[in-house]
Amino acid sequence: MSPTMFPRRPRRPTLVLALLVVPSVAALACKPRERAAAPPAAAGQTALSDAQIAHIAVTANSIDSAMGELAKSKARSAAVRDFAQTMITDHGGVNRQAVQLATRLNLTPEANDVSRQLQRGADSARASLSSASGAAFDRAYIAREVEYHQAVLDALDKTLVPNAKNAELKTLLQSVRPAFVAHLERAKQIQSTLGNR
Amino acid sequence: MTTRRAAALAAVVLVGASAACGRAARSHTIEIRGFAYDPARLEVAPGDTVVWINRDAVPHTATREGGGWDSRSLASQSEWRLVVTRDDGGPYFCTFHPTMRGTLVVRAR
Repeated sequence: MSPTMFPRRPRRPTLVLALLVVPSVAALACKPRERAAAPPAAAGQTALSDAQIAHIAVTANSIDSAMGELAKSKARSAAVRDFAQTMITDHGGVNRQAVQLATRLNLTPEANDVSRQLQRGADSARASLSSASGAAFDRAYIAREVEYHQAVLDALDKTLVPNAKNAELKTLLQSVRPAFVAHLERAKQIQSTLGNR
Repeated sequence: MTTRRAAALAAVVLVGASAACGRAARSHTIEIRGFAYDPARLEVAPGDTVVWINRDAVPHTATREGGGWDSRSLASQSEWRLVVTRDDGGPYFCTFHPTMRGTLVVRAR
């Protein structure tokens, strides 16, 4: 653990929060094995701007919607396919809301280290899932969904909502939280029916 | 005078009939907001109307467990109404998000 990653005497609490939380946000699309090997995602990332937060939110939704498309075409279990369709519908709906708000606020979502790493992690997870099939795919997809939604919730609570400056953006982020909670609970329910092998 | 008497009699009969049947049918609203039904438990009487309004950005359903009634997909900001019969009570849920649950209690007036 390098002193650069975890400075002993931080100057700004916000920066420390970003350093501690952002890596988990950025790595949330990776498989556990990949995540352990991943470099700290956004070391040096300063507090996020609203434009960056908007980009992270849109990216996170787009990733899960796209993963839903993959699962819809590959899943064996009807429950998993239904869940995948719900992810496509819900994350698409949330993104439409986010884009409408960004347009109204004249806020151009700005790519940043976190959203870029989110996308890289998703690409990696997608490649891994693409090679799985049948029941093994169902288990891997649902396990990732459990992990992903938990990580997004953590990110919302610890990073995105606290850092959002615009009141409407903050409200939007808070209003989508129940969706992630419901998705997480449903993914856990399905996971409990799929078994371990 | 005969006409007035008849009108008064009709009014009395109507009031009496209304009293005999209990209060008039009512309309109730359940808002779907933040992936929850509000109120989650609602007590109604046969003949009442229940209106579910989806205030979330994503579609939901109000679907009775075990069958009987089903709103099917309710788009954002749309509503669905049910005129309640005595057999319509019981738990219901959202088929898209089964962790969302509500209960309709039907009691005769």
